[in-house]
Amino acid sequence: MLKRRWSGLGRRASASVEFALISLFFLIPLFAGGADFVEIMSTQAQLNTALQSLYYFGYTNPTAASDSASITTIINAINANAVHQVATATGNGTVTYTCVTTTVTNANTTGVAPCTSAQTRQTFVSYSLTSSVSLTMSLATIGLHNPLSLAASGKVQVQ
Amino acid sequence: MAIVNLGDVGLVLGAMQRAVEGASRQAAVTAAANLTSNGTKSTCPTTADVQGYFSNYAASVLPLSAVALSYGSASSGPWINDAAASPAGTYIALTATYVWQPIGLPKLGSGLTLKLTSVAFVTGSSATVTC
Repeated sequence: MLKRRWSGLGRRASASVEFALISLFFLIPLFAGGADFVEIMSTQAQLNTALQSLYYFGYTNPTAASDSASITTIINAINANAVHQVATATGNGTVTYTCVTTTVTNANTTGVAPCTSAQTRQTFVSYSLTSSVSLTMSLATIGLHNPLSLAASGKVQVQ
Repeated sequence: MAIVNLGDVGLVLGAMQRAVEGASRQAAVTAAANLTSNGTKSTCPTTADVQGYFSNYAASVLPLSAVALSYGSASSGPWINDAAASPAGTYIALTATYVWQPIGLPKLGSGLTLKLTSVAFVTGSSATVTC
């Protein structure tokens, strides 16, 4: 009878040890990784939304599309409520031009030089934003460094 | 369940992103369309109008009663006059906040707060607009 009681205690003890091991090496990392992934997704969504805000500003205010004060106003308005802060990156608000010749081949030349009378100048503005997320788990081996830097960038034609 | 829940987060975030961008742009375009000839006054959409725009975009995915919309300026409605911008302008800063709960795990914590903000300037105005 004493042997049976010890046997029951041993089974419960080993189940506790197994649960602790599975929690430590599997369940906790799984939940932490899932929470990190949600943070990454929501931060990237905010970055994309901020970039769309800048695009819309560029489309609708072509003469001020690269104005740093206006861009700062937009970024500050977003950061006032954002969970993860958005910052401008190198090259944000850069203006480029293309001279388009309307021919069958549609030959383009790029630069700031005045276009010829046969060409039409197109103006583009590039926007580049960045943000970072602090992860509970560092998985540098698969490219998830802690803190993880996220970026969103693009170029739109404003004129 | 974890895979289902990650998919649900993606769905909710995508719907929120589209709705917050669409609603702010629709509000800005509507304000621009209602500008007077000298571009200084407009019949701007109200908070109720913006809520309606947001609902039209997100109703099929999000439980709208659980989504809170807020604005950069709570005291004067959704619109902000920024005289310091170049050119000066009027804009809306719309924030949607939703506390996401994992499917099938109602007792797992208090949920995750998802929050997205979009900004859209009223166009066609020579300076700030009086709404």
